[in-house]
Amino acid sequence: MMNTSTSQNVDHRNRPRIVVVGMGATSCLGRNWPATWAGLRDGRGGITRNTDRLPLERFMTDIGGFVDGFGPTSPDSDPRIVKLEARFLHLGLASAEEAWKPLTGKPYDPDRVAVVAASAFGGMDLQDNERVKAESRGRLNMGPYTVPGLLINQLGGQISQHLGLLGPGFGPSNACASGGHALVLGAMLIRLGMADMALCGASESVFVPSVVNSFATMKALAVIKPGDRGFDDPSQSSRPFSADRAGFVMSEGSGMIALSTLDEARRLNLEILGEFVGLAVNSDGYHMAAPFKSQIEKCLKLALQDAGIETNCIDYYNAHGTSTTVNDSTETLALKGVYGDFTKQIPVSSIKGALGHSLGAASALEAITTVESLRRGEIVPTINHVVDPELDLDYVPGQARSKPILHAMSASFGFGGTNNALVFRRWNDD
Amino acid sequence: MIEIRHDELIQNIRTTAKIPSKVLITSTSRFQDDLGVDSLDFVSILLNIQDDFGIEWTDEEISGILTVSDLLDGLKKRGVKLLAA
Repeated sequence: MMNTSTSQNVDHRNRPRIVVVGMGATSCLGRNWPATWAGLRDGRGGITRNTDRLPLERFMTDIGGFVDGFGPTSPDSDPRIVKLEARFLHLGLASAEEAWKPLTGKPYDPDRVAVVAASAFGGMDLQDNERVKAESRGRLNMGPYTVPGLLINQLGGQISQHLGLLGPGFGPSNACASGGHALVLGAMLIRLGMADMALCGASESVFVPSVVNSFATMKALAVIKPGDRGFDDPSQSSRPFSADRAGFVMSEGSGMIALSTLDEARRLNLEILGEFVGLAVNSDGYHMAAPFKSQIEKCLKLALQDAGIETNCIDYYNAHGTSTTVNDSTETLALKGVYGDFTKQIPVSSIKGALGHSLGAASALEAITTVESLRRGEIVPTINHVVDPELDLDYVPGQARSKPILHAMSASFGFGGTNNALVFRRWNDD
Repeated sequence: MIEIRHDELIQNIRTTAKIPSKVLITSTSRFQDDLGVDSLDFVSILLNIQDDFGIEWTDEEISGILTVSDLLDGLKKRGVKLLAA
């Protein structure tokens, strides 16, 4: 067991304890974290059909998860970044400001705040729009904001610029594990003493034909056909751990978490939402896209070791749970490999049934969900679930569940063979 | 002949470069010094004119445009007829 109390400022390995002091999100269930959480807890699905964003002349599917009212063409677009017509910047900056709101007016040192803002694809939507325009243009054919807008690290740059955060900055890109990797990197910077706080997370919006259609042709994306239960009700298209899961459903969104040393959080009199006690990242060295069970198991074990807790201390596991055949079976087997006989006592849920898969942003949203679950003692359900006889864990189907949670794990795995696992602990300020 | 309304052109410049309404745009306005249009926004203005009215620009023309008047002259040289509002 981890041997720390809330009175100690260092963890079991004598490192500064790291706490969560702010969270922000955009998703297809809401334009901020409270709205997103309410939808998740109520078991609502955010996946819809949108032929304006995904016309079938160009896209192999018209079903996805869309964030309303943001971005360069929206009337309520953020005027400070309206020239940067890449949606991931607009979604990411909005959730960064939400996560940083508790720090407003607080006397922190901006040079000691890191910004780690990730994305898998960055501004590919802007690049695609510019490419289409360029086809009908002459020599002067590419907008000058294309390069600044498509850079993945521009998200961190805009957050730094508009929130005045001047410490170390990184823009990691690790496919569908990007957001979790950002949290790991932010915590590492704090543990190394390079920052007192870190605003970390990810943003993604990449509804462009080259990405959507490539995911479809590689059979990772669900292409919902007539007769499928998702055809008439698109909110049933993403079905993690279900017998009839048919691939992931792509969505857009963002998630940001403000991390702080316990010392700094107390000095600034911040509300502590949870403690970030364990982390791990590793690589598969195996395949360009397929998950690798043994390395996932190792990653989960490393995170438990980092947290200084035993396997039977985990009260909830927030899954990568993509709704693809291979991920959900591999993840289930990996959990059994790590937790053994205890696995069936761990509630396992995936929010991708409700939110779809926001790629790089997904694991940031999942980390936020995990922290909120700890705070509230509420586990959000895996929606659209139909029992698969080969997947026999407790997937919390359909309805949220109340349960006191002390430790919870969230994990994610990305193409290119990259994994992360995060362990959070409920905060008891006594 | 391409016809462009003068007020539409001015509005195009204002919208593209996000020039505040309190800043008056006249024919003698210098893009950078008077209107605060940086080099990126300036190229965006020319691209929008190209997209909206089908007028392409050479590198020499671009480097010679410093004021709104220069831009209007460049359009006239391309045979564009500027219409009053």
